[in-house]
Amino acid sequence: MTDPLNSPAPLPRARRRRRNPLPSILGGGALLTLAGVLAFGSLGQSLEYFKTPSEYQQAEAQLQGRLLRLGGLVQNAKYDPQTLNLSFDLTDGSVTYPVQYTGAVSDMFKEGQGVIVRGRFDKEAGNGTIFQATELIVKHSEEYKVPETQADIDQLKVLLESGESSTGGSEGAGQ
Amino acid sequence: MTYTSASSPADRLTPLLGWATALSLLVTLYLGLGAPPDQNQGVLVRLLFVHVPAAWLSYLAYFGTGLFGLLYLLKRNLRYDRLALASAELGVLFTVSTLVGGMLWAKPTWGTYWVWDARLTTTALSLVIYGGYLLIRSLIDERDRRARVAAVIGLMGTLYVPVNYMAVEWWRGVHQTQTLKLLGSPDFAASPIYGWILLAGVVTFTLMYLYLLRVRAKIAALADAREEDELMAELPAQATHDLEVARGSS
Repeated sequence: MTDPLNSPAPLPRARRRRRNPLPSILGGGALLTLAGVLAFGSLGQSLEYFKTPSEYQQAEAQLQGRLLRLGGLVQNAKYDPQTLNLSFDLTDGSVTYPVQYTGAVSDMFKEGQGVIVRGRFDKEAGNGTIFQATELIVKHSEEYKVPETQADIDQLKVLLESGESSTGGSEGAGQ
Repeated sequence: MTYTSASSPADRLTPLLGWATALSLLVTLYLGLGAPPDQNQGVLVRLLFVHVPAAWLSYLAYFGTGLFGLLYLLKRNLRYDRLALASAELGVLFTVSTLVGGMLWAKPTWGTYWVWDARLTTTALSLVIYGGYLLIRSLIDERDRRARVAAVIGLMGTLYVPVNYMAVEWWRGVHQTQTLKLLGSPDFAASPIYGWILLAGVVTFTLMYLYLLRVRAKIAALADAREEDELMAELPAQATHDLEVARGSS
């Protein structure tokens, strides 16, 4: 029994501690789920998140009636807070389409703001010329400015007072 | 040097970093909560001082994983592997905080918690890359092999950082482009006061990264030492003796 141990060859590092396999299995499952969600949630579509009105116009024959996202700037917005009906024109400077949407609208929504709408040009409603949106995302710029002119300060005051009950409440308590 | 064994000389740098982190965190918190409201989003702009530094820390951490992995491959010292592991865990942790902070910011501004645009999708993808990194580590029992495989994955994963950073430029999406433009002519597209607070936040989170990195690597060193001790204890006395002889001769 003692003989083989005297050989000069390095000893095998065999007897590692057994690890509990449960964390690895759980981790692997979570990763596969996440990878699956990523694959089905986004990679089926293009990495470009939306089309511009000009791009839609060029490919109108294929895209008519299909579910898609359009991005552009807001013009002539009309919002009724009672019925939550919103209508506005979406433009990229050269091509403009009217959009209709029903639902709550972010405080950041205003004239000239960049927005992305998801929906379709529906033949049945508005005979295919109005974009019926089911989802509205408001983009905001990477610029952050402290208001400097009196008009800007007044505008901010209105924003802060309107947001007091929803977004501003918790922030105010933290100070 | 401080990581090689549990009985090394007292580490002065780590507590120093800890106190510096705590102090600058208080300063940033004070500055951040006192920041003047933004023209368009009001007080929501204060999320900038958490969101951007957290994202910065995750970049730093993923870059660190690649760097320490490379150092391990060059020097074959497990100390670097422990730093790489610590860095990867911090990267995942702060990617999650970036995502959570960003979602809380997105709801009141964009109008939704989540969109599958390029920036957000690639950020979520990093959780798969580095979750995979940590998972593969946990599957390899042999210590040196674990370090070697992890180093290669960590190095490749670093590619995530430039792709994620440039995602807002390369693909059309919802996420804003960089406020601080580093490519082309440098420019900061915000009021200077926000820039200073943001700088305080970035310095704070960098200190936090260095502190947490050292703490986590220390814990990993203790875990490695314990594993080694247990291995020794499991071996019969005779074999232990021979192992020592074999090691001494090599």
